[in-house]
Amino acid sequence: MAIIVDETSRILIQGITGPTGRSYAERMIRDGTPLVGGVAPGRQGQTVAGVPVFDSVEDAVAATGANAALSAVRSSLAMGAALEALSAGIGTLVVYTENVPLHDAIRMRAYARARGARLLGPNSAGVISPGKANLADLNANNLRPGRIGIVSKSGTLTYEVIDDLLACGHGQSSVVCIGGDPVIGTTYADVLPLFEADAETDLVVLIGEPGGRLEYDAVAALPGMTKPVVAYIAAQNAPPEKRMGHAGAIYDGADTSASAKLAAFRAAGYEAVGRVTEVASAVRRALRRAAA
Amino acid sequence: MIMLLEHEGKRILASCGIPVPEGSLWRDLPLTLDGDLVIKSQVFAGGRGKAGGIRFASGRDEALRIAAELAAGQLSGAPVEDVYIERRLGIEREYYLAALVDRDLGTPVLVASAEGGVDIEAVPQDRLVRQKVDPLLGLEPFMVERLVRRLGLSGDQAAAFARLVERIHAGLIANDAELIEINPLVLTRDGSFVAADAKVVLDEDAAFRHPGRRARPNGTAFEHAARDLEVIGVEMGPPAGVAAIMNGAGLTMATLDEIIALGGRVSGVIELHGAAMNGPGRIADLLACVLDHLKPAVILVNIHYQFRSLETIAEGVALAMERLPDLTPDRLVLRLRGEKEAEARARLAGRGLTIIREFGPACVEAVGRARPATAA
Repeated sequence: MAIIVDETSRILIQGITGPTGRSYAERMIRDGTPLVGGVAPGRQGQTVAGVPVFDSVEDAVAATGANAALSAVRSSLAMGAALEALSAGIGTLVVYTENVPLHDAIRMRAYARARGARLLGPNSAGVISPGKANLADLNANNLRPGRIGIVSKSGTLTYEVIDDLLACGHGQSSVVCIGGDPVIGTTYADVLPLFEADAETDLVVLIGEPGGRLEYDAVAALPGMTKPVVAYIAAQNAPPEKRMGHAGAIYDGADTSASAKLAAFRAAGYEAVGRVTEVASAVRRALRRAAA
Repeated sequence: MIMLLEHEGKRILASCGIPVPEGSLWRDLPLTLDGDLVIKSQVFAGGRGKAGGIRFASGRDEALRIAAELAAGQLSGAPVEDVYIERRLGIEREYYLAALVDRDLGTPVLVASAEGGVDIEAVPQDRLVRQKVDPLLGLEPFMVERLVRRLGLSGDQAAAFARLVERIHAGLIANDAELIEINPLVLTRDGSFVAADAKVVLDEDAAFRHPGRRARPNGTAFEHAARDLEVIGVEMGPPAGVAAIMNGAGLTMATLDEIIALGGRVSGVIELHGAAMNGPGRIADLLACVLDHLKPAVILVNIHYQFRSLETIAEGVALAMERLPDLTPDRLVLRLRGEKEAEARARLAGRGLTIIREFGPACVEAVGRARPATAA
């Protein structure tokens, strides 16, 4: 099963003729990801990595039956590209683009919700179900199919968690990066029930950051989970009002600091850690507790 | 996130059709501005009134004297950027009105209160009216009516307030703003609403729609220098600790935490933000910048790429070591994981450098190296 993407996904890349889009296309084909085409206005008839390029998402969907897309266009074009993809019926959209204006993120998020589509991002490293489909900025060679689900704002934090879990013999069902921007299309609370319903997931690692309240919404959604959830909240030592790389990773009030979020997971009775090197042992403890 | 000073924010309010008092910066004060005046320090810090940054005068001579005094000083440790003088309002009542982006709801939200003029955090939740705006609908009359009715306004005042609500919402969208806050929004004795203060935060990412919009330089000299090199730098304080350079926001946060958890001190961090695409010269410049501004005992270069080649990083480190005599191998710990690891190691061979593949051990090594130096 896995969640959001799998071997039955039919994937498009928006901006496939640009450097980012092209490198995504080449690696998707190499990994055996079901990439069926790309979009680049004015480039219809060309091919990239062996897949056809179309002028519009609508034409690409008509010709290929695509149902998922990754958008790697520049930030000034990101909203238009997202609205076009959603309007053409794309059901799963990853917006990889960073520095998308806040009000553009708001519009694409609202439209995705109205269409019942799943938007990851903006500023999302994507989603991968190892061995099935890779719609992410993650190297499939570094992952193994397994039974841990990961949901994270950050791509690079998942790299470390994936490495440490693999060293303990744990592969992943799906890794979902929801994006590092302040306004994003899909939240932790949206993803948790998907992992709960997934027969191939035994435990979920939730990776959080300072800034905003999405981690608290996740805590509120935990009663709906029968599977163990382990929280890792990064930037425990980040000073207030300093942006920690992600546009969204900035906090002003004490209640949106990483330490307050960590405390909220612990207060709810869940394993929660503040160091990436502690995640694997927390997962081990949570699995042992679930088995008992 | 671009924070504006009050007088800049008021220009935006005026351009949205929201009335503001007649006023000017103190050095440009026109002769026509006389009588009862307010003199206001222009600072980025909050709590200006309590700190003595707002004064009153009757007449322009007195106002200019006070302005010169305020301009020369600081306000609660924050520099006074400028001084603004405006006509004093006859206050009947103070309201609060704001339009902002609620990041968690992912929509614009309007907030209003009939109890403005104080720190809005101090106003009880039940005295605040919040109205979410569906971004696909825009601001509909039913939303405005709910807000105005909940404030207890009626008649001409309700109609006037409703117009301001429409304008502040339109202004939020048109200006790609994150926040437009009016506190207080003054109901004057002659029955009109005037914005007595303005707090506006603009979205830097929307600069392509707003020619001339540029982030205001803030932060430390190191943070400025990092910005000039197109990376995100955060200075943490103590020199002679570990300075760390990472690819990716998440890895930056994790490294900061790990070093501190290991008992180390972090002088500052840099998130490369794709800067390696500018070539090895940029990496060398960054190492020079870190060395120069942060004076760290040790620099940890912590790179974990999924697809990118590590050769640019290796080449940049080699270049920096040739250029910077202070960048000795004992001050450098490299964590290199990604494509072309062997080639990167080969490029740096024979320099006495420590290159580690795993995150945890690299942090331990950096903290261990920094310790004797910080004790000295």
